[in-house]
Amino acid sequence: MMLSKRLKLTATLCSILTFVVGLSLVQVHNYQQQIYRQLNYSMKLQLIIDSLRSQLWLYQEYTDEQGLTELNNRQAELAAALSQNIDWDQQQKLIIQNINRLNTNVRTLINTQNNYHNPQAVQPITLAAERLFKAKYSMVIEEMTEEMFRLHQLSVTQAKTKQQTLLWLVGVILLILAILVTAWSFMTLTRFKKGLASLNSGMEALASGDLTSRIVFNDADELSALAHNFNLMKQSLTQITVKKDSLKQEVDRQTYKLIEQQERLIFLAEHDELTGIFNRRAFIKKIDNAIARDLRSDDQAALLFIDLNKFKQINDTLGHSIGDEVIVTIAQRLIKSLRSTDIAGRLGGDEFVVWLDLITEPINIDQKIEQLLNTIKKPIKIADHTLEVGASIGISILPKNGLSSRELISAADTAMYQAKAANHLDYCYYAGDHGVTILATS
Amino acid sequence: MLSIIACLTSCEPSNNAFASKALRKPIKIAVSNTPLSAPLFIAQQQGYFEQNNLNVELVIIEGGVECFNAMINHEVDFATSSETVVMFNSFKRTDFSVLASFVETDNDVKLLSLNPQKYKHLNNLANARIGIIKGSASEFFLDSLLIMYNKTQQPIQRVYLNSDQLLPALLNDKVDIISAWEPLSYLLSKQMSHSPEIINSRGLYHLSFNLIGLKDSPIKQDQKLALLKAINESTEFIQQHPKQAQQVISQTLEIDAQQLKYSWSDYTFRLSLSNALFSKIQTQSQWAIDNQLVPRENRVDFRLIFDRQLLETYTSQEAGW
Repeated sequence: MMLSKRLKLTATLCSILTFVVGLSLVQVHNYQQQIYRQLNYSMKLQLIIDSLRSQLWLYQEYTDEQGLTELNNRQAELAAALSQNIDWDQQQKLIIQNINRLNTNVRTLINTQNNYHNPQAVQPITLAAERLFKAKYSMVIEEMTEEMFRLHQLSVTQAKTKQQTLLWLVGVILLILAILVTAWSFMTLTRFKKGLASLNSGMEALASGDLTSRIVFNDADELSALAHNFNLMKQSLTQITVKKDSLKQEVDRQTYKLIEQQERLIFLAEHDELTGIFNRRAFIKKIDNAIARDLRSDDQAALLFIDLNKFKQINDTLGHSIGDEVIVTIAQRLIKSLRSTDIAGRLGGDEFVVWLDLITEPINIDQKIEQLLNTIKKPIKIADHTLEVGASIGISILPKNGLSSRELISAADTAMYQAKAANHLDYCYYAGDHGVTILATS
Repeated sequence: MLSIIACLTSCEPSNNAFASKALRKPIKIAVSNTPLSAPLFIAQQQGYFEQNNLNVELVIIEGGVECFNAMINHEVDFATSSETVVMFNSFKRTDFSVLASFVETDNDVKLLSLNPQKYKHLNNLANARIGIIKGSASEFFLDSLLIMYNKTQQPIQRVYLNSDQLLPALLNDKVDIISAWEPLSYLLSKQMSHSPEIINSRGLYHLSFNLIGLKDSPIKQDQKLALLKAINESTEFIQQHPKQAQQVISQTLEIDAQQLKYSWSDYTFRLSLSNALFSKIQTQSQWAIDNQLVPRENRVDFRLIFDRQLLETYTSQEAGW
């Protein structure tokens, strides 16, 4: 049941309870008024009857006009009092009727005595009649008193019965209603507490990040509707969160892909596609850094410009693929022969450049060049071919032959041409624009 | 609420057991076959005796005199009779007592005539033949009226008859007037176009019917109290359900419902034992002495035949004093 309906029912029950209490109080008041009225009235009747008794006695003593008038007045007073409507019940009405009848009897006796007897005449018959009338009056008044006692008794008994019945009835009705209202209120309270507790635990679960649990409800009230909506909200929230997570994953994936591509692009931009060693631009960038560092620490370095010999012949006779493999092999051999601080690069075709960093002595350069030449000249086995290539190396020295990469490459290139021009030279140091220093012969 | 019902239900068998015990010794009451005995018939019919743990057997007998005699002969435990019967018997014995009066009427005995106008206000009574039952309420009523209407000097002719001779005597012109109790007035009025009453005597004579028991009765005090209670409940029933009560009496005594209705409103059913009854008996006894119906020298103390204590105890019990 809906909570609003429950509360409405509680309010209705309370209203009924209030109404019944009010009605009962009014009823009790009415009953009490009726009882007071009856008792009060019967006291009045008793008083009038006593007065009538006294008057009758007086009339017997003084049978005169005044006595008769007084008696008539008392009788009329009693008759008037008896004719009043005081909410009597059937039995009480019967008693009132009887008193009325006895009052009439008194009237009949008085009339008979008055009409047929002369009070002044003292005769034996009059005395006998007086005695008889006296006895009759006494009897009637006695009976009136008896009837009055019955009226009192009946009124008290009925008042007691009525009040007890009313008390029982009102008590039972009030008790039933009160129990009903209390029980109903407790039921509503329990439902309210249970519903709120479920909602609260559901919200606490949500607050702690639990998106999977749901509030369980069996009723069909507002709290259940609230719980249902809360569950729907949680469901939507779960879906939104799932979307957000997958979106984030996708973004991460794409970002990673981009980074990968970027790295690849950077690699491609810096490395020679065939050999994987630095290309011209990257090589220049690298040696620019090395130059700056060497100049700061006042160190020497050498740049070797290597041009392979006999490569064109291989390329022309055995094809580009063999030629490419030769280039790759030479590049690998160069890399393996160099220190970690040294830098190798391919300028294109069969031209390589090597940066030998931190050269302490010129002799060290020679040894290194010899080592490199030996490595280059080693036979290369490609498929069924054993090939051999040579190299012409031009050498420029930092800072002696230049302070920039451009100057140093240019110088080394010049020296390489000079070495190539002199057939017998494997390598040649740059010696200015007008000549080269021949350092070694092949 | 349920527990109360359960308790009442569980209490019932013990009551029945008590009742069955009482069944062994039935209390016999001689009841005169008149509507004045209504409270006893109603108590029997409504089960008030059983409800008060009494096993009562009503013995219906013709007239209060015979009822009284049955009690004296120990044929019954209690009797119902008028105060006239009580008065006459008081001169013979005092081993009985009046326990309570349960009904009274102020209009039962009447002076009836086929020509009531002639004797209106008891005029023209000279030499009138008046049919009466000797030494009964019929005669007492006539004498009372004569005194009250100051007609004792009138030379009337008293014709003493039996109760069943009254009406035929009047109809056959053997008497001019009869002094008779109900239902003769009703029966006569059915044959006449006008009322047969020569005088409205209502209130001039009160007749009561009483419960009488022997002083040495084996019936215990609590049973007597229970008997009064049953009779009182019965009078209350009569007051509350007059039509139903009349129906019961009509069936029990085989009386025409109309006849019963004719005089029913004159009856006042209630338990009492006041000086009114005492005064009534005393007045009647004086009349009986004056008319030499009882031995003149025999003075009776009527206080000896009034058991006031029983009714007073009952009244106190009922009122919870």
